[in-house]
Amino acid sequence: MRVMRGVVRGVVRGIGSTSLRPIAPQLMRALPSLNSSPLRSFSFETHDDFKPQPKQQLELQDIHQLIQQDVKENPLMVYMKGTPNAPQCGFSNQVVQILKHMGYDFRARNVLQDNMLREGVKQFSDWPTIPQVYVDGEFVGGCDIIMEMYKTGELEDLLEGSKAEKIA
Amino acid sequence: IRVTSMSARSKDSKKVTKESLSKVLSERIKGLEQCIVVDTSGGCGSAFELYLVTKAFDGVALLERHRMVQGLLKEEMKAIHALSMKTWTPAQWVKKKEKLPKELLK
Repeated sequence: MRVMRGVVRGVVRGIGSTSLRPIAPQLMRALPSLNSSPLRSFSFETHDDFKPQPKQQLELQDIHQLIQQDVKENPLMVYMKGTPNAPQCGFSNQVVQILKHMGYDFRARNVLQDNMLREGVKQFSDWPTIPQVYVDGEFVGGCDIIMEMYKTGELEDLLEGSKAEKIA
Repeated sequence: IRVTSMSARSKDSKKVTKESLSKVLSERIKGLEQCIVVDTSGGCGSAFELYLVTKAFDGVALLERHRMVQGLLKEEMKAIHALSMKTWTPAQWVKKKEKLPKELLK
């Protein structure tokens, strides 16, 4: 596990030397959208019907790259089932409610929109369940851990010391 | 690598029950003082909640505790969709068990 974490950290920090290959535009359109926290007044989530149909299959390699990019660009990143405004699982909903209650901005992707994303997310963190929360590029845990940390105050400390933005 | 089958439940994975899970955990975790397993999928064996108490968790970070248990359940995880767990040390258990519903502790 430590090696895995080290690899993730290494990629996130060493952006100067190990540059991320940009994801091809046609693939970017195929990916599930990046959704916003319910606290963002102008957050909108594109319905699948309106998204252009992908001509290319997403590969796991692309997903890993996407995740690296997601967690690098977004200090508080959540992979969940459903969207922040419409969670589709009790555990995902709990995480969203906690983050919303704490007032921190976050971004999320819906793993139910794409099977490759769902598998890739689990492989990347070597964690078998969804939701998954990343803070400053580091995997923090799933619902249980977030809940526990929230109760002990550890989560507030973590987020306060992170690059995550408090918007409420 | 193209992954063609996304099904978490493959034909080979045996059905997991709370009894089988309980047995496996008791065998694989050192000094397990408490092992409470709840099937939260209504008997389907696809979602479980675990309450595990052992001294082995002393001084171990929460994330590591979870990873430890998950590592021990690699095979079982193939058949399970959701796993919730409470991983406590004996000291934590003393306080936490007060707040648990009575049926759980039977």
